[in-house]
Amino acid sequence: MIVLDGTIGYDVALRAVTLHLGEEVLGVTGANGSGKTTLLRTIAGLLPVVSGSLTIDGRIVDDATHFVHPEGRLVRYVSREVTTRGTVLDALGFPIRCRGGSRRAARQAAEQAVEAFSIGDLASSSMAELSQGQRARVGLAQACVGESRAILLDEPFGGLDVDHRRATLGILARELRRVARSAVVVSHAMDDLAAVCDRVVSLDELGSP
Amino acid sequence: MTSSRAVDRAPRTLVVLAAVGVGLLVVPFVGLVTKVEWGSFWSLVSRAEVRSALWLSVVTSVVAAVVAAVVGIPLAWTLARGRWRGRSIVRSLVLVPLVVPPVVAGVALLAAFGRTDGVVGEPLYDLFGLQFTFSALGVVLAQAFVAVPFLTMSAEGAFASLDVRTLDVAATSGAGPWRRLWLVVVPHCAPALVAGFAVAWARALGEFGATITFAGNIDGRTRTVPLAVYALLDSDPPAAYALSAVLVAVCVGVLVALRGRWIGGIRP
Repeated sequence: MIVLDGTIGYDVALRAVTLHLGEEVLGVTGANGSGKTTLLRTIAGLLPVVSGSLTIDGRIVDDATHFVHPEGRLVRYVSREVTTRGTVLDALGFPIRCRGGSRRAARQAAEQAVEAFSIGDLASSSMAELSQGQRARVGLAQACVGESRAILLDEPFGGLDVDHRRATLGILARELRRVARSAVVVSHAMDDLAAVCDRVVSLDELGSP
Repeated sequence: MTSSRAVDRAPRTLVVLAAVGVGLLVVPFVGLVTKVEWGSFWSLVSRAEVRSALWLSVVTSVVAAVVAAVVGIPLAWTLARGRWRGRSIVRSLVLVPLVVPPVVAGVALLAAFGRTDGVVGEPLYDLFGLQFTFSALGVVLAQAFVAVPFLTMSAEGAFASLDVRTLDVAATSGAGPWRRLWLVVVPHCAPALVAGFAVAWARALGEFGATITFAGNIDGRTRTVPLAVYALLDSDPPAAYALSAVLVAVCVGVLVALRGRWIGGIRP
């Protein structure tokens, strides 16, 4: 269980949040600028809580006196843009390299991800030459490389093109549950969230600004 | 490069002025090449005093560029990614060696690092026996002083253009600070760092004013190639021309090796 109970944000854009994230895929909606990204970044450790606490499986990772850095949480935050250089296989192996895995291990994981997400046609392309839709699919595949305690996806559907949407969402729903015990997906697209998530809440249900 | 777009055609006056600009840059070197006595070139540049100047220049300029990198790159990092008060002041400070006349830089170094009355130099000499004036150490210090801005500007540009989201992905994927540096920062910034190092090294190699003022012009001890050129111009002009040609060749060689990459990297 991941429990966030406190105030998140920075400067004047603060919001109280109470979130209990079990072994599930949770969808979160909310207006632009309401703090969805802030919520994900706080859970990932890219932003500290303003007050209150964040615990992962009973261990306090963030409160007034503790702060576990992102690399110590195994909680992955992935925004839509994948900005790694090199080929698609390089990008897909990147998370493994980040954990200290060898090039060979990274390559193997990348090839598994290529297969899982049916993107064999893109594997040897360079990231720079991909279309927006292709980048979005690679980004989702990259998010599911390596095991994580939780995966946090920030607006992951924006670039997906119509042709691959259905199939990709099905794959994502399966892979998220396979590689992580919990996941949070932030999006405006209710239909897409419904296809991937176990339950969907609006940010306002978690707390007030 | 020619442009096929009709609207890119420049007014004739600009073309003429641009040509004058090219001439201004090229004519001095054409003059130099005509003055070099190529027949006796090797005997001129292989004389003992010239060889000792070349060797001293190579060693001091490389050490100075490394020193500039060791302090200049971390400085660039804090300028590009830090959020601290006084950042803009420090950034201006970094540019000072570029605009201050080198002879003034030499005078300032003398005031600070002089052996007998330097603010820092006197205690350093009394405590550790370190002497900067009239020593190769002083040559390195003068060269590093003028070289730092080139490295810091080039590196800061590269660090500032790093995509924070890639660092976020790396951190939440499990990469600590060192691994982020190795997997994200180094691959992204290596070309600019290499280019900055090369230009800083070339600047150190060519350093004259601060060196002669601060470290002196002692044959075999502080007489680097530019200082040797200056000394030889009086006593042996053909040797001065030959040695100048060597410096020009080395610097042009560095630029060619970088293929204009540094121009993109050094833009602040």
